[in-house]
Amino acid sequence: MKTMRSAFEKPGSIPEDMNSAVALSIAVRDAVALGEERLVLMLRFSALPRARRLGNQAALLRTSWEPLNSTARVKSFKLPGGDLVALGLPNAAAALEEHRAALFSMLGEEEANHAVQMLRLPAQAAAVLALVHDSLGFTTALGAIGLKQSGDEQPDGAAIAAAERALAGVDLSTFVRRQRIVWLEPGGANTRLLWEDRRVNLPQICERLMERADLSLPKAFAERLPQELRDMRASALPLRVESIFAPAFLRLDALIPQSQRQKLLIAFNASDILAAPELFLLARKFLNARGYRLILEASGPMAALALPSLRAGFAFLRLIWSDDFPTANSNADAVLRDRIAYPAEHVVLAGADSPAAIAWGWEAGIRMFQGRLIESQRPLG
Amino acid sequence: MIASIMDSDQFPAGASRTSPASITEALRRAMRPRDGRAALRVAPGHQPELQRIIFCLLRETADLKGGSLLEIAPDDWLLTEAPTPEAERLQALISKLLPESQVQLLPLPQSKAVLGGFLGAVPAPKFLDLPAPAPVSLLGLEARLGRINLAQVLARRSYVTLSAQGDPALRLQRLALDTAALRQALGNYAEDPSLLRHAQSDLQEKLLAALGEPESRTGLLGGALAAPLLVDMQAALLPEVSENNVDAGEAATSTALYATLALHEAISLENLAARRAFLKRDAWGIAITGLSAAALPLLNLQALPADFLLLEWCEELTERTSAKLFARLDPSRLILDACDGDAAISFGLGLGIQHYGGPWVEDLVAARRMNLCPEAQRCTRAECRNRGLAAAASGRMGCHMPHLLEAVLPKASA
Repeated sequence: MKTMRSAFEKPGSIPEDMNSAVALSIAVRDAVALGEERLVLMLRFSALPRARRLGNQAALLRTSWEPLNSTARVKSFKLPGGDLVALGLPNAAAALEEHRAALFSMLGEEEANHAVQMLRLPAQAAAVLALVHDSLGFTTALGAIGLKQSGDEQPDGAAIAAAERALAGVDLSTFVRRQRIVWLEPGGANTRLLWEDRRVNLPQICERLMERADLSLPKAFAERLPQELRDMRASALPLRVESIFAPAFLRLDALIPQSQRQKLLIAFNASDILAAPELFLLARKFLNARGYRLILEASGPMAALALPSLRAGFAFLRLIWSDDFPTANSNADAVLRDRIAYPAEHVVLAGADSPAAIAWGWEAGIRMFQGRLIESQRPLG
Repeated sequence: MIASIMDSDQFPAGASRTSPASITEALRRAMRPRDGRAALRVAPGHQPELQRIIFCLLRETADLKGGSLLEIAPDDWLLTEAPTPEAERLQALISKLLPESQVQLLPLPQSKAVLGGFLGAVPAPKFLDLPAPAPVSLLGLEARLGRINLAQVLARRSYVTLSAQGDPALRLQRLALDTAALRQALGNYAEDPSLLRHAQSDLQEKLLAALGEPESRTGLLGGALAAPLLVDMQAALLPEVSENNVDAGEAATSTALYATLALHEAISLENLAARRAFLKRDAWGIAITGLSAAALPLLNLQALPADFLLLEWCEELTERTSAKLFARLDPSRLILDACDGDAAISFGLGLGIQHYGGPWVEDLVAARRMNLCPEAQRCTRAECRNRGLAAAASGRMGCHMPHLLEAVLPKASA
């Protein structure tokens, strides 16, 4: 596995030969449009064995090309990736043929057959243009597009509308899942309940109502909450950034006494925040002024690294465990642990459904956990 | 939406109390000679979200501490009275949300003359007029989407480097959805953000399919690719790591296509860093858009696995960003987008940014292209610019030198 660090630091590179490739394709199409005859000699480095493409050998091949440029009858192009193309008038045939023979003598017969080609315009224009696209990497890149045949999986408009109608009549409390967040130390000392996470179990709703269609978090959940405030302990409530400004939340806000507000933790998803950063900054000011505390939910290490939770003003980072977490002792793992070296009071590892998850968390200095494994323990507090 | 808050009986100046008489009454009460009170006058601004939270804060104080909430004018609200400590606390809080000049504390009864001024001038107080948007029906959306001509809602944009003399050289092209054109094509479906996103994702998928067909690709680009291409796409469309390229074959020598992901989509792809390495073999790179002035202070740029980061120019960038933010980032990875003038370019040059895009750049590109064009006197700059941006053949019509248009920014020698 490549280390994350090296993957981050490679800057993009843009070949300077791009203009040359465009000029060649224009020249080719001109010749075709006007029905003019041209000879095209191509040397494709990409079709040569590695040894030929590098160092002295490559330099030799390139130097041998130079005399071709000395005549006005031939125009040479260097494509991105290094391939060389000479476009010649019909009266340059001898010079081009001579150079082709020279290339054959410098390369082995078999190598040359692969890498050296003489083509004619306008008849073989398609082959020349294909080479240009090849050298730009365009062909490779397009070949890699794996368009998913997702037609049957994506719900169409009518299906979503039906699902919305179905959802409107549903008592969401059936789907609210409560999970405890506990402080857990190696050895089991000091174990205590910190707060309760309440969220609508979206996958379950989707499964029940709409067969895989995905919906954003129902705002209706916030409307149910006031009834639960009477027995409120510290709770975490995941909301979308826009929901903070919805009447449902503002009404809820008015119902919670100032002294109780710090018990309510508002959780925002990192992706939601970055989809509307301006709105988030406003929501943060408002929520902080009102005394709520914020949790950043990161779907994984990448989101947690990209959006540093402490700097962005969050009381907690809720990192959701998945099997994608770097395996222990890998470089990426080290980088990740280094970067989430936050105080133990700051990071919650959610989805802790296996001892491996908790072990990883302990090693990373995490002491707050949430998940099925935690739920299966005896009641706390 | 706000209407439902207004309907609640918690609003002190509720429907039953909106008559001019009740306003007069509330103001007279505020002006009575009793110390230790203050009124608060707030200009909430025009952002609906901000209006709503300010409204809630004012209303809460009015509910708990007495006083009435009045609307003097659409952007001018008055909390008629509150105990001084409460009013000051509220002023401090609102000052965190609004510029201080938009919040004014009026000590009572000293300021009764000011309040008196409202007695006559006050129109019937109007509640915040923010009707909930009517739900947009989904029916017919798919048919509408099917009728959209992809090329008409795309723009072929250019990104350049600038020489010391200010001469542009084309470095990247981009096929991006033109949001204004898309909104127009979608009609009222575009008013629902989720439907707009659905349409974008659908069209981005079609764009990839169109790029795969030589004929439609040539149509969109107006010919050959003149530079590596940024292709806007949703995270789900990013090419998978193909099994057979993991250890077979050599890496591509150059990058032809850059999958261009919105910031919030990019950070949801946990394996993006690993995938990027494999994509490179297939001549794909990654670019990330949506780095706005608001997003930057929240981000750790080093952690974004991308070849290019597209920074959106706006005035606030100069205030909100520091050189420190970019210090550890190779400026060759940054592209300053949405450049609209000299201020943008000097900001970018100050940070060592090399790549620029946006309306100012499109103007520059059109101007340089016309310098080289023998037929230039037959067209205006705006025509040349719009034809260069067009992804539809119809949008390029009228150009007498399509080869120059194809090359975007031909070399002087070409």
